[in-house]
Amino acid sequence: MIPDRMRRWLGIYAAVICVLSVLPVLVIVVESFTASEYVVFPPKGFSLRWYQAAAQRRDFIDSAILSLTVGIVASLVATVLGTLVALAMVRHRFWGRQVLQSLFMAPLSLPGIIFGLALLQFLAHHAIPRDMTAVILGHVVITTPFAIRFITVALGGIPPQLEQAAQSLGADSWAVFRKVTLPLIRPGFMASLVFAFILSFDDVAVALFLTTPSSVTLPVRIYVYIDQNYDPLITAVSAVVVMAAALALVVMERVAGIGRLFGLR
Amino acid sequence: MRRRPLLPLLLVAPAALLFLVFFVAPLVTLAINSFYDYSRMRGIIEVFTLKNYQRLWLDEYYLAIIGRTFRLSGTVSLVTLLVGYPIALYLIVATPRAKSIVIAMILSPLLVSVIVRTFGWAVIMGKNGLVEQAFAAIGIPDIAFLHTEAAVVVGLVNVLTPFMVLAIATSLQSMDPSVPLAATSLGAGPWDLLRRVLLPLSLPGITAGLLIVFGLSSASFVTPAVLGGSQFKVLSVIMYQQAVVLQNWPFAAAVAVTLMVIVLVVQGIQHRVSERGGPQAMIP
Amino acid sequence: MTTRRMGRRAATGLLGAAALGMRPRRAAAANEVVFASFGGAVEQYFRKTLMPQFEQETGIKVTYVVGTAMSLYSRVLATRNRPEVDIYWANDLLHIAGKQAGVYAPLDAKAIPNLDKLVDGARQPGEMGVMSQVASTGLQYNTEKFRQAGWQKPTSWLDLWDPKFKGKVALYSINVLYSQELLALMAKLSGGSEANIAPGLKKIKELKDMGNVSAVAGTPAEMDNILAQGQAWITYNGCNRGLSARLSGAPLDFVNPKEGAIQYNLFLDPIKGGPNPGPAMKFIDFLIRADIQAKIAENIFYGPVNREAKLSPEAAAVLPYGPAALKALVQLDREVMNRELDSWLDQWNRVIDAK
Repeated sequence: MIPDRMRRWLGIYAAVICVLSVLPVLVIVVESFTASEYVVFPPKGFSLRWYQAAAQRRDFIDSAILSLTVGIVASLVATVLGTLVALAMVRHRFWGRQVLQSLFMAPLSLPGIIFGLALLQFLAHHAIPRDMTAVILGHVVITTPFAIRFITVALGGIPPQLEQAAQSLGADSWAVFRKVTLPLIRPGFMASLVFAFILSFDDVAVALFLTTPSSVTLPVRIYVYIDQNYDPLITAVSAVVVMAAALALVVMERVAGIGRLFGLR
Repeated sequence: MRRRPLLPLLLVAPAALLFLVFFVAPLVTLAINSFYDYSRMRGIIEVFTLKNYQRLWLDEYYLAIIGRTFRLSGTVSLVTLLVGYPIALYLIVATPRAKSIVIAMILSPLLVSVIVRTFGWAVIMGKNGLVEQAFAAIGIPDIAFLHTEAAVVVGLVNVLTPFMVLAIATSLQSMDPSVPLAATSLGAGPWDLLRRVLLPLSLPGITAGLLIVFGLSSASFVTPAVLGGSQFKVLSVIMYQQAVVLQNWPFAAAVAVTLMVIVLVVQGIQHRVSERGGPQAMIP
Repeated sequence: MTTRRMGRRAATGLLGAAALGMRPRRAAAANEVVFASFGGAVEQYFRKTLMPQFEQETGIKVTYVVGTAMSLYSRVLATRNRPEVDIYWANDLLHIAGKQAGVYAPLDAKAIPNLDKLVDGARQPGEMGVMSQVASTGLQYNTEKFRQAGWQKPTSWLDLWDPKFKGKVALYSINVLYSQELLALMAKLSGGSEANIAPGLKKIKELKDMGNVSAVAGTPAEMDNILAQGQAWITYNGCNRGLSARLSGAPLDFVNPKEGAIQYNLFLDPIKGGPNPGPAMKFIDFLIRADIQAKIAENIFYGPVNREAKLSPEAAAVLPYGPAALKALVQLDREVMNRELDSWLDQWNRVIDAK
C-alpha cells in the first residue's frame, strides 16, 4: 500500500517516538531500584527495599484492586453506552442530534477537579448517597466521549453497501447489526475499552472528591502520599503497575495480538 | 432516513439519562454559581451578578491567561497530529509484532499516574536532569527547559499521542488498500499520496483525534502546573486556586464555564471544517 | 458475537452489582469515628500506632480519611448537608475559615476532661474546636552544601536575601501556607502589616529580581525533592518538615531565625452534623492527652499543647515547646490573613508569579 522506502523511514521514525514516549516511564522504573532514602536521579545504588516497602503497604494494594474494579466496570459501561450513542448519531438524523453531540463531548473540556467538586456538591446537596457507584458513574461520564468518538470513526469506515448487501440477502436489521456492523466496529470497541479503562485507572481529580472515606483509588492514594512525601515508594508502586500492565499486554499479544485487537490487521 | 424514528432516541436514552443526572445537573449548578457573588467572610452570596465574568473578561491579566491556555492546547493539538500521523501510517503497514510493540510503547505513559509521570518528566527536563546531562556531555550547558511552555507541550504530547494515533489509525484502517496502490501505480509520489489520498480519507480520524486532544489539553491541570511552573498560569491552574485554595466557587465556576464554552466552540468549528472533506465521512 | 456481547453485558451487570455490594451503606455505627487529615508520615504514624492504641483503649474504630489539607476542606464544605467526616485536623486558616462558614460544631467540653490540662490559648472561645498542636515555620537549609561552600548556618529571615544565595533559594507557591506566612512576616518587617502587605510583596519581588530564587515548590514533598536534588540550598519550611527531613538522614537542617520562627497551630474541629459526635469527642480527648501529645511530638514533630506532656531533651530543644520557646515565636494575625487571602493570592499571582 505504501512504498517500501517510505515504510522504512516510517519505521525509524516510529522507533524514535516510541523511545521518547517511554522515557518518563523508564525513569520511574529505574528510579524504583534506588537504595537512597529520597528520589535522586540517577539512582544511588541498587536495592529492592522500596518494593519491599510497597509490598507491605496494604493500603496501596487495596487501592490498586479498587481502581482495577472501578476501571473495568466504568470502561465496559462507557463503551456500551458510547456504542449506542454512536449508532444513533451516525445512522440517524433526529431532532436534538447536534445538541446531544455537544453534550456528550463536553466532559472532555471540563477539568477533572471542577467536575469532581461540582458533582460532589450536587450529590451532597441532594443527599444522594455516595459510594463507589458515584465514582464509577463519574468515570463513565468522562470516558464516554472517547467511546463515542472511537466507535463513530469505526462506523464511518463501514461502507453502506456492506449492510445493504446483507439486507438484500435477507438479513433483518438485528442480524445485520450483529453479523456485519458489530464485527466491523470491533477496533473502535476495543480502543474504547482500553482507553476508558486507562483513563478511569488514571483519574485523580474526580476520584479525589468522590471517593468515600474508607475506600480510596490508587491515583488518589498516590496523590495524597506525594503531597507529603516524595520518596521512592511511589516510584516502586508505579513500577509495579507498569510491570503488571506490561504483563497483561504480553498475555494479550500471545492470545489475540494487540494490533489485531485494535483491528489493525 | 430510517423508518423507526423512535430507535435513535431509545439508543441515546441510557447515556442521556446518565449525563443528565451526573453531568448536566452538576454543570447547571456550576453555571448558576458562576452568577453568584462570593466573599470570604460571607461565603457564597446568592445574588445575581456578572462580576465574575467581568473580572475574567475585562482584565488583561486573565485575558492573557485565556490566550495562553488556548495557545497551549492549539500547539499541543498540532504537534500531536504531526507526531502521531506518521505513527498511525506506520501502524497500517507494520508487521503484527511491530504493531503491538509500538502500541504498547506509546500507551505506556498513560499507565503511570499523571503526577508520577510529570515528576518523571521533571527529572528528565530539570536542572541536572537527563536532558541537561546529555547536552552537557556534548558541550552545550544549561539546556534545562523545565518550567517553560515547551516543557508542558512535551509532557502533554507524550501522553496524548496514543489518542491521536489510534483515532487516525482506526480511520486509515478502514480505507480500501487498493486506492493508494492505484495512486502510486498511476505515478503519485509519496507527498502526493499523502496529500491527495491518505489525508482526505483519514480526515474523520484526524478530526476525532484533534477534538479529543484539544479538549484534554485545555482541561489539563497537573502537567501545566508541574512542568510549567508557577509562572505558567493556565485556566485550570486558576480554577484550582480559586476553588480548592480559596473556596471561591463562583469565580472558579465562571472560569470553568468560559473554558468549556470556548472549547465547545472550537470543537464545533473543527467539526464543520471536517464535514467539508472526506468522501467516506458519514460522520455528521 | 451475540453471545460475547451478551456475555459482556452480563459481566457489566455482575461487576456493577459487585461494586455496589462492595460498599454497603454505612449504618451509624456507635463505635466509629471518621478522622480527616493528610497522608504521608502522619497517616502512617496514626495507622501504625495511635489508631490501634485508641481502638484498644476504647473499642472505637477510627476511619482515617486521607487527603491534602485543601482538598479535604473543599470536601467538608461541599458535603455540609450530609457530612461523612467527624473530625477535621487542620491549620489556623482553615480553622478560621470553617468557623466563618459555619461547618464546625463546638466541643462537648464535659466529654473532654483533658481540656483543663492545656496551655493558655489552646482552648477556643465558645469551645469551637481546640488547638491541638503548635508548629513553627522557620528556615531550612542543606548542611552539606553549606559546609562545602564554607558557609555558616543561616540565622535570620533576611539571610534569604543574601546575594551569595543567588540561584539557591526555593520558594513555595502562594497556595501553600508557608508562603502566605512569609509574605505577612516580610510585610511586618518592612514597615507594613497583615492588613498592608504591599511592602512584603515588594521585598519578595526583590528576592526574585535579584536572581536568588531558583525553584518554586507546589507541595511540601516537592520542596523535599528540590532540596534533595540540590536545586536549592535554602528555603523556609514547617518545623515538622524540617525535623523529619533531618531525621530521615537527608543533609537538611531546620533553624529558628533570630527574628523568630512563625507560629502556626493545628486544630481539631468537629464537623457540624458529623455521623459520630460521641466517639468524636472521645478521640479528641485522646489526641490532646499528655502521653499522646508527647508521642506525636516525638514522631511527627509538632509541639504539644498539653502542659503535662513530657518530651525527650532532643525533642524539647528543637520543637516549639515550653514558655520560653513559645515566647520567641512570631505571631501573625490569622483573622486578617483569612479575610485578605483572596487579595493576597491575586497580588502574588500578578506581581511575584509574573514573568
